[in-house]
Amino acid sequence: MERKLITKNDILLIVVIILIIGAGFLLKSFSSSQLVAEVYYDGKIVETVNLTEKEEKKIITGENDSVVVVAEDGKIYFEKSDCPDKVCIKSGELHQNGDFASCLPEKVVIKVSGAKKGNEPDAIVY
Amino acid sequence: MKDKKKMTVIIAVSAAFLIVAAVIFDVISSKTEIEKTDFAMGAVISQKITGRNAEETADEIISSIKERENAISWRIENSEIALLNKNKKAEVSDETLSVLTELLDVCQKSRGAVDLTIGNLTGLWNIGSENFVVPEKDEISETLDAVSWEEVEIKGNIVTLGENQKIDLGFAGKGLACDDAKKILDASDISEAIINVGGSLCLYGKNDFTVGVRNPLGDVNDYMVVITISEGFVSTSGNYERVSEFGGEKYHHILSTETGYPVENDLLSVTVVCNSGLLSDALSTACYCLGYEKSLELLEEYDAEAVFIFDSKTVKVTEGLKDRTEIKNDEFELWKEN
Repeated sequence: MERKLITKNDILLIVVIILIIGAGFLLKSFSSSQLVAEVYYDGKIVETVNLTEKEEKKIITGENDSVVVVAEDGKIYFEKSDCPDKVCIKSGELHQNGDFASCLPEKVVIKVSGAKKGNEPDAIVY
Repeated sequence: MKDKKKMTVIIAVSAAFLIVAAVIFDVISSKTEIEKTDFAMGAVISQKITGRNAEETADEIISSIKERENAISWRIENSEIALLNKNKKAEVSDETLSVLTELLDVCQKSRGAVDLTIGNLTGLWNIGSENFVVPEKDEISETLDAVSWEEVEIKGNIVTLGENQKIDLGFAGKGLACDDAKKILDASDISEAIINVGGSLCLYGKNDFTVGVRNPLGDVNDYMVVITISEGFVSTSGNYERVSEFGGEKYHHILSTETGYPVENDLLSVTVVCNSGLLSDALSTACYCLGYEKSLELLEEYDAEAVFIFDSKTVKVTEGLKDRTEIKNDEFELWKEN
């Protein structure tokens, strides 16, 4: 009797290969559910902080390294800046998806993304 | 022999699957969402774009906004507006001409509540500057005398200003940048985008955008009402935006063309939704200055909708937003007609 070209075991093997690859993709998309803060200077990312893992960091950036951004306890905020208006410091602590603060004179922006709860608006007008 | 053949088949099937998966992934990833943050027009510009060539489109949008800034910002030496302010008479490009014409129309329809010749008054106050002082009363009234859009003359591409006039398009610049963004999105293969120019929004490619309106009494990321709108433009003018303190008093940046001082009324902010960025921006300022009652006619004239937030923590919305507004903060109340 001639053996079949592909047996049940072979199909199983193919399925396993597909599952392993699929798991890889899933893992990748899972990582985006983490809450991440990005600190930009002049439009470029200078530091990324994982807020879900409560990463602690002190970031010094800005026009003359005069801006201090602190990340602790799952929150991130402007601690110090040489700007005249201190709008950045008044922005307070950022801790949820979509939170945003900027120091215009020093060209520094903090943006928090990931871990969307599902009911946040697409954008905020101000 | 059979085993070898079998292995070939297994490898072939797996490879075929991988190729299909890779192609699908490629199609999906070229449509992934990108987010970008830049600076222009004295504001943070953040872009969220989904579609093919999202990255290139975002770059194109930024350069187009910067180009616009170089033409219309009085702060930029030798910009068209800077030259016009300096020489009081100048030939401007077709693009700048159409902006001026459209804004003069808003000046007229708002009966001067917004006035593009306000340049010397905003310069005198310079709210948000480092060593802010309140200008002298006499200086204010003298400067205010020259604020009059009616004196602007346009003949062909030649624009002439009154003797003591300076143009300041600050009340419409961010919205105009949103229009520029829209033009580029239209010409690209973009399925969905949100372009945020210092708080003014260009919403593109969807019919149910949810937009949070900032809580005028809260911090930057605090919104108190959410409106659901289709693609278009949204801008807010509020008394919290640029504020200077002097002698224990707070002064915000929206100046009254009637008194020459920051506008004082029962409003905290006005948000305008319409199909032009320039208009949404200019109208939000005009409505803030005019107050609720007088704004309604103006909004109707431009087919625009608005959200008014009062210091009594009441929220009033125009007809078209009635079923699209949801209060998200218990402190505020949606006003209902009896």
